[in-house]
Amino acid sequence: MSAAAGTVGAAPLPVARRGGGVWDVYRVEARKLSSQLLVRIALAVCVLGPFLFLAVIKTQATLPADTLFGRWLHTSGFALPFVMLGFAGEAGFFVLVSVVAGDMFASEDRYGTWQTVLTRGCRRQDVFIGKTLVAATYSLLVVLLLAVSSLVSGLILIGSQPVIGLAGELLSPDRALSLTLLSWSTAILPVLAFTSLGLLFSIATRSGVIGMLAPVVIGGMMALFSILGFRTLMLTTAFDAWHALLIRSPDPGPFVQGSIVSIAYIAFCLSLGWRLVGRRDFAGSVPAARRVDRTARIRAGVLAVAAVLVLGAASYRPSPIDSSSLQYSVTSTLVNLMHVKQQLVDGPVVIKGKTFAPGAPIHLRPSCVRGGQEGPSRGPGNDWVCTMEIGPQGNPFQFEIDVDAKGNGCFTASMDSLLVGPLSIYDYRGHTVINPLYEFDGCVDTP
Amino acid sequence: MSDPSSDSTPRARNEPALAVKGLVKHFEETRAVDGVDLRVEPGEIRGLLGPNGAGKTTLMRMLFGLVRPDRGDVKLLGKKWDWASSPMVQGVAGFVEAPSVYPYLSGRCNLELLAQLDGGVPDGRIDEVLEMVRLSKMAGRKAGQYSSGMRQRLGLAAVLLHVPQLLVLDEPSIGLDPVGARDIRALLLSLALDGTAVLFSSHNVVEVEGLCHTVSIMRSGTVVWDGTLARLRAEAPAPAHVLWTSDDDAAAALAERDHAVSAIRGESGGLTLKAETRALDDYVVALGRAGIAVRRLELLMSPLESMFFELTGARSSSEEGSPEEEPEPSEASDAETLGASQ
Repeated sequence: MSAAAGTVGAAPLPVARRGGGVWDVYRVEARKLSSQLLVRIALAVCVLGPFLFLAVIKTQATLPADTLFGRWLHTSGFALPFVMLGFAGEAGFFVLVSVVAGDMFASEDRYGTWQTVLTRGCRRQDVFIGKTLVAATYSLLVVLLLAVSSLVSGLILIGSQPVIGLAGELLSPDRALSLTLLSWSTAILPVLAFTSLGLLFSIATRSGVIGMLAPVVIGGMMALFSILGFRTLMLTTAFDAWHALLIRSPDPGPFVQGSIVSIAYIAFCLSLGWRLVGRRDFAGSVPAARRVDRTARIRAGVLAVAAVLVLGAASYRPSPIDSSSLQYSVTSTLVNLMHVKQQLVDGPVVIKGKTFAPGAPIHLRPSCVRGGQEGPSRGPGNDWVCTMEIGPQGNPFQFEIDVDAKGNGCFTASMDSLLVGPLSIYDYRGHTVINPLYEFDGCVDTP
Repeated sequence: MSDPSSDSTPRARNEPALAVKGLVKHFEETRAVDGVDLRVEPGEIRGLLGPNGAGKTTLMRMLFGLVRPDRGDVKLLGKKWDWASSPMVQGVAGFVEAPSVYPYLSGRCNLELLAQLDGGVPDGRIDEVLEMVRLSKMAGRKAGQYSSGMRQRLGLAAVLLHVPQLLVLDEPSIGLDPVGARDIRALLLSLALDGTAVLFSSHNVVEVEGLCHTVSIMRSGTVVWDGTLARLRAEAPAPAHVLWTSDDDAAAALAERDHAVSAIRGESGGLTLKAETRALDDYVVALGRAGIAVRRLELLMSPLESMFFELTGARSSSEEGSPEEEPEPSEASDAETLGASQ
């Protein structure tokens, strides 16, 4: 620096040109983010994860049949995007989104760079908005990459065959593609809501670790609450909204409700986050200020737990699973699948020795009850049994279907191979295909 | 440097570059800053002195809007500083405590990002400031691999990305080697000559004495002395020296007979003397006449240091009885003392 004085005196220095804004902060944060190894790994997982997952599944005989569309992964490339959406909604989104959102503000505390940033030419609100927008951009990128990657991977590794939807009908490639895109778009708002949660914890606790873990833990708690029937105000419920787009009568209601809940979370988290950032004293090593830090962390933790409990209590809603809804949905799905099987084998479908010819109407009289109970039943469980009758009332033909009903309104129905044949059958061309009646998924619909 | 024809500078408008009035800040029950008034004129270098926990850093943080004051006004370059909504006033630069950077980015990348936060700098400016702080060769290295001195230089480079009209620096030479510290002093003098107002805090009284035009001394959140360096020297008590002789007992006895010299025996030998320069000269001559050889005579405490210790109530090494020790602030003691005295 010996030349400093001379250089300063000799060369014309640029006149102060202060005036960074939101866009400048956005560019700075994006550049910082792109240089971080963890972020690169997370994005690489989004791009390569679906491909590797399907590549492994393709080499195995067993399928993840406990996941919606999992049983069709070998059959249609369009199954993978729905499987990945299901996985991501259960945990993947929380983890991937928290990597950035949970550390977005806390990293400035960790590196002690708040004062470096705030002594430049931009306002606190510019910094807050810029960082928030970058976290949101990253989250949208996660959704986009996962969606595109799983779609492309499915089409490359399996192909663009029609896929069986949640109502049991065969979806053409065009319809499957549009439903894939529509379904993934329903995840955007809840993903942004989880991003906001991560940002809030990052601000409130000033700890990247807590910022990253808190949304994951909260997401897990919400999923647990959902299973217990507390669903309405849980963000995780919004991740299931796509189910309603694939049932017999597509219903935008869950999507609208999920969007409203997500927007409410976003508004709450960001307004509280800004309040904390805007009023914060960046007092460095002053011990009294550090005591405030600890108090703030404890307060944030207590508030978070209280908020989850209150939200849970306000979210209780009777389960959509009851005898009536299951009877309607299982029956309509089964009838559709029987038609699909008739097309596959190009001939009649045989159940328990009874033949159902193509073109002939199928009139089933369902009765769904939980194991050991009589009369109408309610609630999720794997002890549901649906009895289907056909023929005269006095001497009907009957068969039974075991149903595992989930808290989110979806179910897995299975029948004995003695009734409907084995898992693998031959289609009319002699190709081995999955027997659609052996086990099938669906979601309850409103009759 | 700044455009002399421009009439937008505080100097042209005949306004102080920094005017602080009645600034107050509490952290819970702790009184960090308590009614501070301060002015820095364009071209002035003002030293901010005080023991650890006096409130210097909190005051500086308030100037940058990092800490919201409870009461008081701040005018930066003639503009009232609005913490709620304003960006940092154009032309104000500096850093508080050690400059912090992103360790996973290179030094150059750090500067590019900070320049971006300012809305950008002209092409080549980053290379210029890197050259000025002698970091050009290390610019591509990750900042996490820098020494504390190099990080300090990087912080200075960030400050110099734009022409500062008001420079606020907290311990700018800490961590630097003697050459680096000298360069900083040359840089600040050069900037001040061009009209930049400088407020810098330091623990190093000698550094302040050699650089500043004016001094503010803080204690327990308040300014206890404020004025020019010349006035401070005039009001300062006698300087302290440490003396080693061939016969310390006889030298002490001689000092007892001389009312103009005060001598205290050190535990590890030698005498600590307090005397005006003329009286000290006479005393040394008298020692020679008495056949006592002077083996070593060192300035222990300058007048400014003496004044500093007197005003702030801080304990000097000589008062602790050991002329060999020198007060040496440290980061660790900083935090502890802050807690104790603020």
